[in-house]
Amino acid sequence: MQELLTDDHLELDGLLDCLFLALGNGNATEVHEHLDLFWARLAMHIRAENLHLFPSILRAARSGWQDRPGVKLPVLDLVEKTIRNLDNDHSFFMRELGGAVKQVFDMKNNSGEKEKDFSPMREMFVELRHRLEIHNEVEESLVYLWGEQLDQADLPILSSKIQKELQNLPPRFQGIETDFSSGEV
Amino acid sequence: MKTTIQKNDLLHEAAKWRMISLLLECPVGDWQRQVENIADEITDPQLKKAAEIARVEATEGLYHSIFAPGGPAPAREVSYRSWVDPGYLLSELSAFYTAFGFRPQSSDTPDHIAVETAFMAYLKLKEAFAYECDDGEKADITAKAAKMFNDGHLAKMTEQITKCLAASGVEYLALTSAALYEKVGRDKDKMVRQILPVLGEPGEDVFECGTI
Repeated sequence: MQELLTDDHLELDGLLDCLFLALGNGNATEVHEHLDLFWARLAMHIRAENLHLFPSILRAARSGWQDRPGVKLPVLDLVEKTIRNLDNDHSFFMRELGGAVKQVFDMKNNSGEKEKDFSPMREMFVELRHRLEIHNEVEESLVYLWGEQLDQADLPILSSKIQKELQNLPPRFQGIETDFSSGEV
Repeated sequence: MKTTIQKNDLLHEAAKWRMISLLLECPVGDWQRQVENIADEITDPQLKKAAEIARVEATEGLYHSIFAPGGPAPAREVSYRSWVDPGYLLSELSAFYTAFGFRPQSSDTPDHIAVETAFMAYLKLKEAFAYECDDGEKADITAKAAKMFNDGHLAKMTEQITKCLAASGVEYLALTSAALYEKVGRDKDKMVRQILPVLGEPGEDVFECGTI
């Protein structure tokens, strides 16, 4: 489970790098393609956490998991506060990206010069990337480790639910190969 | 003349529609409190369960991950009616809303599923109010408009949106859309739209230069 989600962070980082390259090129169609894919993949990651991982951790923490012998786990207050902050980040990412998708869609469909100025949008993405890095660090250093401490009998089911969300790519992207090393998708 | 029981039925219908509309809105501000308040007014077990699950499941991030542009369940009617001119569609909806004095409070577009269902709730309230004022003619007009709006707009997207939300993994939205589909029903003109787009038939989606 931890590996699944950490690997997904790496893939998302690669997609965001591609998006930055496209923003630098200034071609609205190219930006739209990369942004649409990054947005959709991040939405899948967020659904995996909000629908499966976070509720499982909260349920376990609320039923007194720190009392289990031999396991060092945080108190409920810390778990709730951390997950609430992560969820606020998710809302921020989805809100900002949804707005950007709309904006780029309009730019793409606008007649006029082919090259567009993406500087203001790039600034927003710099801020988003910074927040995403901190967010991922918290998840990888705390929350995913808490997830690994859940009841061992439940972990395979949780992992399979998470995997299903991470593979649930919208049909419009199916068949697209991703190659992060070349900076192309 | 409508009896008190029939008027109460209309008020219950309005509450149901409003609950559906609210559950399909973005869960921000005092959304949670509104959901709890309306949940007290409805008896539909499916919607009550949706409201209860929404208390823990609904978040803004999750909502946008489903409904935002390009998400798995587009929330706008225009997304399900590619053969209709968007300008015409939005203008028709605005005409409906203006005719009945409906001014949506949310920032969603007029063809958003939450706005269209809020309009249905409003029409049910208007119908009940007209009966309360012994104005059967206005009540009839409102009831006919609600039927026309349901068949002409909501039915065009509800079946598809219900399928999308059933597969979304978000339980409160799946339950809400199932309750919505029960109310709206199938699109009775489903087959008609097949012949509306110029490029509607299989194999007709490619033009070759010089052939037309």
